[in-house]
Amino acid sequence: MDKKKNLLAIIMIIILTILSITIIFSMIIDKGVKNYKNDNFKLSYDKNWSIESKGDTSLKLVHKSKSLFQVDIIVLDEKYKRSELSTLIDDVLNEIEKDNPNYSLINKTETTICKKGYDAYQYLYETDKEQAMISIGKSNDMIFILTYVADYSCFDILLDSVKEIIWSFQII
Amino acid sequence: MTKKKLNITIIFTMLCIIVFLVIVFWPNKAKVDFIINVDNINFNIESKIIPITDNTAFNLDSTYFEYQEYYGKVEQETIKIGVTDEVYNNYIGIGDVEHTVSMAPVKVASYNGIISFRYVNPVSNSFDSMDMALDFRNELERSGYKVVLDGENKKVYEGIQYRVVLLKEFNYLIVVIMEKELQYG
Repeated sequence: MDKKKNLLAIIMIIILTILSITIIFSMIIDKGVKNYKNDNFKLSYDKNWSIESKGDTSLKLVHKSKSLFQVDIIVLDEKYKRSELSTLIDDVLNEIEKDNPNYSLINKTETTICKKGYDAYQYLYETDKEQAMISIGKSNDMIFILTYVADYSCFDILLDSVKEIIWSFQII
Repeated sequence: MTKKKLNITIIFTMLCIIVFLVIVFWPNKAKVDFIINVDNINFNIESKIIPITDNTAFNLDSTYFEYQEYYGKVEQETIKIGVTDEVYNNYIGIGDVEHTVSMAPVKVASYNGIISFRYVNPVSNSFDSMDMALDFRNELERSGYKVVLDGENKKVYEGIQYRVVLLKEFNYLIVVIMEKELQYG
């Protein structure tokens, strides 16, 4: 009888060990930050975002609320590589606004963004239903455009999460 | 191994299994999906990538007057208070946010049980938005909230039930209040 109970106890301890490892592993995975890297840039994002599409010069993340975070990289021609962002920004902005006539510009600022401290311009647009924050920066021969679009009800709530993604963004 | 120890081991293991099952199957409020019509999100900027690399893209002479139409054209933000009284009243007592932030809210929104207040700081060049909410932060601390993150642009307070996040962005101060168990990322 004791032998059987000993065996049972050993089995229980093994089960307990497996469960403990599973719990710890699932907690690590649950809180884990995902990383994305390609030839041009890298960034990190939390588990509530997932990749919808990706390419060498772009990445589209979608939140479960259907909010969107998008990275677009523009590789500049040789003659523009040494240009200051301030001389290029209006053309980029002009194109953006032409393509999105329904969005009204409601705020803008010149700032530094990301852990690397890229000089950038940030713009905030809105429609009746959504808001869009666009960060445009330059690093060497590339201009990067980081776009965050969300329904106005969750825009501010997800902003902290988006700022973490922007903070992690880095041109390689 | 004595009989008593065996019994304790078995009971302990059973309890662990129960705890495991509770953790795995406990409902997570934050995972309730918020439905938005994705068709409304139409901020496709892909089309801009091609002309920028084109040789004529940065011909400033030809585009100068065109982009002057846009440059500096900042419009008045629409004020939206998009929460029900029930949600509003649930959070309004925390830090007495209605009376302790010395700025006017331009947006109050709620998503998945989380509420956000957006305030405009009209004198952001002179006065820090975090300072404009000093009374609010003091009230939180008086109410037993602890500072768990104290950055220049972001501060996080946690009480027994709620978490309060203050963020600076543009000339805004954004205050997000949620139950601690909720995730907002």
